[in-house]
Amino acid sequence: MSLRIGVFICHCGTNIGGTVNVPEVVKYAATLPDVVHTEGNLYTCSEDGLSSIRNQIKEHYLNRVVVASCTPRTHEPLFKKNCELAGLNKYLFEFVNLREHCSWVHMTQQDDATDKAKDLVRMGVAKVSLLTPEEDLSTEVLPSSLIIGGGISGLSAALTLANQGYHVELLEKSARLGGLLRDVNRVFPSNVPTSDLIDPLIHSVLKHDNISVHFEAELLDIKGFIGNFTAAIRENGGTGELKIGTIIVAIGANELKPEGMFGYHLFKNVMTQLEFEQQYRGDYNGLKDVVMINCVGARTDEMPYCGRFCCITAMKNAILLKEANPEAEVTILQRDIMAFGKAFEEYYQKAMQVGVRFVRYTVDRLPEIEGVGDAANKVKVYHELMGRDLELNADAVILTTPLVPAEDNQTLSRMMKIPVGNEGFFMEAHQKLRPVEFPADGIYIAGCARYPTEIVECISQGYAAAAKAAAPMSQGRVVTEAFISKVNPLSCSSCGRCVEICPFGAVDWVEFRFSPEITREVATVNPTECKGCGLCVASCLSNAIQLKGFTDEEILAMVGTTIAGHEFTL
Amino acid sequence: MQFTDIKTVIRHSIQKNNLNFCLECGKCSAVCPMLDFYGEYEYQRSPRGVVERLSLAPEDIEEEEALWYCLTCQECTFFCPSGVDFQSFMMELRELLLQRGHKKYAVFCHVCGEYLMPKKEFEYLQKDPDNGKHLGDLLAVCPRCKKTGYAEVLHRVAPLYKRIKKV
Repeated sequence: MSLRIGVFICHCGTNIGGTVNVPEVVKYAATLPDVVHTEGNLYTCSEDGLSSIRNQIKEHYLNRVVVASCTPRTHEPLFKKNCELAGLNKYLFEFVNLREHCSWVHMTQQDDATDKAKDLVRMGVAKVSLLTPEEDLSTEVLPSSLIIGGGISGLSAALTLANQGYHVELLEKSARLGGLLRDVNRVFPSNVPTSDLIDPLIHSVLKHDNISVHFEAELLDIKGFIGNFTAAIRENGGTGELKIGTIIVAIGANELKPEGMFGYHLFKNVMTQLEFEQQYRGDYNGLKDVVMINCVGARTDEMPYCGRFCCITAMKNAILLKEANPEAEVTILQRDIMAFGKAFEEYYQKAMQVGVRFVRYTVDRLPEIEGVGDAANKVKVYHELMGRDLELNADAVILTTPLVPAEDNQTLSRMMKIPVGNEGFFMEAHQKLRPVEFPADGIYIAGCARYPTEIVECISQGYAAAAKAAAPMSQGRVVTEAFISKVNPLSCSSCGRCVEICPFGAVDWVEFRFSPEITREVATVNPTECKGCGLCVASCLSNAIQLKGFTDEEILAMVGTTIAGHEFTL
Repeated sequence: MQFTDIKTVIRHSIQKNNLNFCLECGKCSAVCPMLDFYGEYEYQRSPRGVVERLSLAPEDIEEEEALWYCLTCQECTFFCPSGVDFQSFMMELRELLLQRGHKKYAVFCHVCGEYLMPKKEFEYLQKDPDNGKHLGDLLAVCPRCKKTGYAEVLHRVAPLYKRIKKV
C-alpha cells in the first residue's frame, strides 16, 4: 500500500502564525513526497481542527498524519487519540513542534523562521513515512500484594489493601508484629502507651481473611515485573513461593547503637533512648538527675542526616521523668532543636514548662562523661556563651541516637533493583511528586525504610503506598506504550552496560541459543518494565538495541533530509 | 512569700516568670540599655546570661552581682518572643535576697525605707557630673517606689532615662 501522508499545520492563534508564514509552509508541504493532503488550521487542537483531521483521514485515505503545532508534552495524546477515533493506528502519527522549537525562539527573524518551519515539517514527513503500526502492550495484574515488614507502616498498608478486597501476603522477619514501635514505651505528643495504638491494629490484621501473615520469614528472591512477581520465601524451615502483583517495601530501620561514644557500654547507666524506655518501662521514679545528649551519631561527617524526631523522643522521656518525679533534674544537651509538625512545637513548650533544662553544646567540645567504677555520675559540658564548663550530676545518661538503615536494605536493593541513597535508605522515584513509589513499576515504599519517619507519617505513607498499589490491581491490567527498546540478540556482545544503566531494572540477562551447540547469555528488555527512555540504546556499543519510534533509520532519515541532496543510510 | 528553701523559691520564681521558655535568641541582650551604661557589660550580666545561669545553677544566686545591674526598664520583657518576664523575676529575686540579708550590692532607699536601689547604678550616677541635677531625684526613687506610683518624681526622672538609652 502506498504512503498517503496528511500534514496539518497550526497557527496557534498568533503564537506560530505571527512569526511563521503558515500558508507558505502549507504550500511547501504539499510538494513533499507522498503528501496527499495539507491544510493550515487556526487551532488544530480545537474541535474544528480535530474533526478536520478525522474527515481528511477518511476522505483522502490518509495512512500517515503529521501535525505541526505546539509541544508533544501536552498535546500528543490528544492527536493520537484523534487518529485512533478515525481508524488510524496511533503510532502512525508524528508531531512537529513549530512553537517552542521555532516561532517562540525566532520571533525577530520571521523569514528564517519560515525556512526553519519548512525544514522541521520536512523532517517530520521523512520520519512518518518510516513509522510502522504498533500495538499497545498489556499484561494482567494479580490482585494480591506482598508487604515486606510488619511494622506500623506495613500494618497500615496491609489493612488498607485488605479492606479494599485484595489479598495481602505480609512478611515479618521476627516472631511478632509491631516492628520498632513494640520497643517504645509511650508515644508523643499524647503520651499514651504504644500498646493502645498498635494492639488493635495487630489484632485486626491477624483476624483479617484477606491477610496471610508469614512470621519468621525470610525473602530469598524476587523475580518478575508488575502484575506477575514471584517471591521465594523461607519460613518454618521450609521454602515457599508466592505469586503477587505488587510489592510494598516497609522494612523500617534500626536505632543506632553508639558504640564507643560517650561511655556507652563503658558505664552501665549510659544507654540509648530506646534502651532507657525498655529498662524503665512505666517506672521513672527512681531517677533524680538525668542528662540526655542529643544528636549522638547524627549530623556528623559519617552520618550527615538529622534523625528528625529524636529531639521529640528526648523531650517525651524528659517530660515523663519530670511528671513521675517533679524534683528530678532533667537536662537535655542539644545542638539544635527539631520540633516540626503538628503539635510538636507545643510539645517543646510543654517540656520547657515542666522545667526540662535545655543546654546547647558544640561539636568541637563534646560533653564528657565521668564515672566511678561502672557507673557514670557526672557530665561535663562546655557552655559556649558562658565560656566555661558546667558540671551536671547524672544518675543516668541517655544518648539520643537517630535511626539507621536496616542491613537488609542493600540485599533488597540488589534483589529488586530498587535504588538506595547515600545514607543507605531507599530512594523514592521523585522526592516531591512520587514520594511512595520506586522508578520500577509495581514496587512501593512506606515508612522508615525511606527516611526516619514518625508514626503519623508512617501511617500516612502506608495508606499512600496501599492506594498506589491498589491502582494497577483494580484495573486488572497494565497497558504500556509500544515505543520500547528491543535487543537484537545476534548483535549483542553481552557487555552488560545496558543492564547496569537501565533506571527501571527492565534489562536483564537471558539464555539465547545461537545454534544447537552454542548458547550465550544476552541482554533482553522486559516490555512491561521498559519506559522507552532510550538510555540502553545510547549505551550500546554493538548497536544491538533499537527503540521503536526512534530507530536509527528514522533518526538518520530526519537528519538526512535537513541537508538537501544527502541521504544517510545505515 | 513564705520561704523555706531558697532553691525552691527560686525554682518557683523561674517557673512563674517563664524563664524556662528562654530560647537563647539574645533579643533581650540586644535591647538592654545597660550595654551602653556600663563598660564591663558582657554575656554574664545580660538578661540572657542571667536567665541561663540561674536556671542551671540557682544555688549560686547569693554571689550573683549581675542581679544588681538591671534597670528594670522592661525593654527585654517587651521584646522577648517567648514571654520571659525578666524584670519581675529580677525584682522578686532582689526582694528575696534582701529578706535574707544580702545587702552587699544594694543601697538604702529613703522613700520606702528599703534596700532596693542597685549599688552599681548609684555609683555610676555619682561619678557622672552631667547627672548632678537629677541625681537626687533618681536616687530617691528605688525600683519598688517607682512601681508603687511616684508619678511626679518619675516625670522628672524620665528625661534622664531617655538619655541613658540614647547613648
